[in-house]
Amino acid sequence: MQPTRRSSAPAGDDAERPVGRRELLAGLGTAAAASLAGCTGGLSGDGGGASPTAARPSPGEGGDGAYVPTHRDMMQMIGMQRDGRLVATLSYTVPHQFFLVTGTRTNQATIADGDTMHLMVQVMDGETGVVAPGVEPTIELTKDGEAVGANQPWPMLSQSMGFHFGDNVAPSGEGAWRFDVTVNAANGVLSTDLADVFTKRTFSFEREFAPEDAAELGFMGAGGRAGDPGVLAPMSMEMMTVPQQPAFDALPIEVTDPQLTDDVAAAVGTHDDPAALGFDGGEAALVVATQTRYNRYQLGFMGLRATVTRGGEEVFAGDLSSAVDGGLGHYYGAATPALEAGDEVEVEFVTPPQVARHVGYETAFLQLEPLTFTL
Amino acid sequence: MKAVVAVGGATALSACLDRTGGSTVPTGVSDLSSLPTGQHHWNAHLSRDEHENVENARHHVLRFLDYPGDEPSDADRETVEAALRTLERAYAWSNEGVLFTLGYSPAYFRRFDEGPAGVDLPPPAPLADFEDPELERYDAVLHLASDNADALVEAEEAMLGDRADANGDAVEARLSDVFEAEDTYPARRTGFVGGGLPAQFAKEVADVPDDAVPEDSPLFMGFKSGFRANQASESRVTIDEGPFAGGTTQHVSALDLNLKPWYTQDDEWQRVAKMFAPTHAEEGLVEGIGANLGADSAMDRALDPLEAARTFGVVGHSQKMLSARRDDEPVILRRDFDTTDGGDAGLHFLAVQETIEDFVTTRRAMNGADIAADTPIGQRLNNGILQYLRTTRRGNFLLPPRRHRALPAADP
Repeated sequence: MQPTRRSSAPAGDDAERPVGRRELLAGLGTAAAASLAGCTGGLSGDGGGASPTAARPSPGEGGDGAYVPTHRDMMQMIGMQRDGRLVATLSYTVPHQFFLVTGTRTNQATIADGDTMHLMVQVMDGETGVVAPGVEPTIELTKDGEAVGANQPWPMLSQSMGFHFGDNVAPSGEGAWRFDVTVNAANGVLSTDLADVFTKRTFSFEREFAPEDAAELGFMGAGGRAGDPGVLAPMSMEMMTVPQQPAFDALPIEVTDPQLTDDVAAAVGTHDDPAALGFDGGEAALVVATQTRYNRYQLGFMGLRATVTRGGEEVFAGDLSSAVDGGLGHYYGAATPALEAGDEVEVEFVTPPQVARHVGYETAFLQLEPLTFTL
Repeated sequence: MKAVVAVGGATALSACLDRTGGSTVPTGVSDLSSLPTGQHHWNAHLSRDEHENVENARHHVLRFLDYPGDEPSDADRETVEAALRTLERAYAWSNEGVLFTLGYSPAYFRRFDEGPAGVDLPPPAPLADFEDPELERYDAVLHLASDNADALVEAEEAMLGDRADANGDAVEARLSDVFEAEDTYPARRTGFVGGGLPAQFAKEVADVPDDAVPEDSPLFMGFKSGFRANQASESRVTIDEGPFAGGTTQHVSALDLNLKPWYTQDDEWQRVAKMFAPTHAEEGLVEGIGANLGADSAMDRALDPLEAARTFGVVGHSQKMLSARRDDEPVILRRDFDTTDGGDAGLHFLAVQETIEDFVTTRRAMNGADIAADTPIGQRLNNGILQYLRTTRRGNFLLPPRRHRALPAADP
């Protein structure tokens, strides 16, 4: 069953309206170490694990865009911790099929014998809701006080969980489990207001349970939509909402109309204070805002290059850095000479997002064509 | 041969000797002048493959030691020297006999007014932003190596246990007469390297997928390493001035290996790209464990790491190491080996180099932080093999030349 192609549709036509980031943050409050262990419910996952339903489309070479998987799995939150402005969430679901991406290659990661759950970490700035992709956490597992190994999860994109770090892991047995999640200082360019937020620190989560119980969390079928172009909506639970990028029209700077390539949506704008964004030098900053076509998820670990021309003359050409800012969210940018209305910006996607993909995303964000914008 | 070395001790040894009836191990010499100046001069006494790559001894033991006294006494020095001469008499200085080094840490030299003369021996430190290793505080480390697991355990028992003879010679002095030596991890570490051993020992640990490690691989990650062109020469790593001239420095780290993603989530293309270079994967340069590469890893055919990262979204481990060369020669000599210490797959990354700074430079090249800053690769993601490693311990040691190996003063 191959997904049927649909002619190019405007971004967002298939996305359910998510709960706003600021609603989440309001709910989170400011108390330190707000542990929400045991917070249940909500929907997650997207067609991994123990799918009872029909075969899903076989992974292609990309270029087909995202498609709706057969079902979504329930998830369980282990906890949410806050340290200063940084918020880390740990949750799990049934072991999931996913695809590692290297360059434009995808490889399906097999679910190993003994895997008991898909463990997921999300890290964000609790004040702005911004997620820095380059924090690559390490999780050390302890059972009844005894170290039982460590995991360094992959950055991943899931239709219902968005950007997270995840892996299938094999801890087993009822016990008092502790998960020490060490979040690294973020790679990439950080706005000055975020420089002290995405620093290295460790969050500890504790839970009495049997990891095997992940198999009992259940799932919900996607019904007739399975295989169609489009996506599942972001999951929503009482205490946790999936981090999303600001909508293009909600950015603090003016940007061009967004354009699409293989379900990557991109728009371009300029910022007049490159130093505040964390760039060295320059009279302006070129900002290429990117997000998934549906659900407004961030697209980290991508390689972009931009060329700016004015009246046929090249004004700027160079690689863009992965960057985060409280207002812009995650974007790609560079310090540039002053830019003017009418400048033409060609954006080349040299390397597609090197994040692993849950089912339904392994066909998207891979065959990326250059896009040209006019400021 | 279930983990004779890993179990260790008199029990493992007697079980082993009972089974084999005692094999013939070549004996050593009593004339020190016939042995090399440097304790680390092993290469001429190890075996080589058909490409003249030196093959490390197949079995290894590390014993971390503490010296309870303040400044060492001459009597203790004599005991240590006598103990080590016992080993040299009993076993040939070769992979068929027993090779060994005795190294001293910055903690050891703190008992003197100054550090070792002419040698910069810094305390160990984390070498990447994302690692939090335990930093060794032991005074000394004994490294024993042999192709013969029985001889290795016997030598260890002679030095730090209660074995009365070594390869038929009476043991007249032991290191344990002078040093305190615990016999469990982390004070005792063991390991192996060489074709067949990783696949064999993988069966003993739960965290390596069944049948994942190639039968002929010398290391858990499935590829050959230690290509002649990728190893510093012994002369390059030898200290050439001062009282410790003829010696070298040693870095010993313990790494957890996470082989499940390596073998069940990556494919062969990704493994070759991440270990060597993405163009090696594209061009199919690596067959199986890479023995076809000969005496070098064909890095002349790899792209500049930045270009590889931009073009392929991945940079190879070997590819990054090129930047750590000086005069187009590596600056460290790897003598690392795999382990199942603690019941999980790991690697004891042991290397010798003229200065610890040479090791730091090499490890920083492996981090690829400058590449990660400018390309889609992460601090670990698609950044060589960093995703699969976790450094849990680091220690720095001075391996004095043989003449100063027994509890040296800071300026002997």
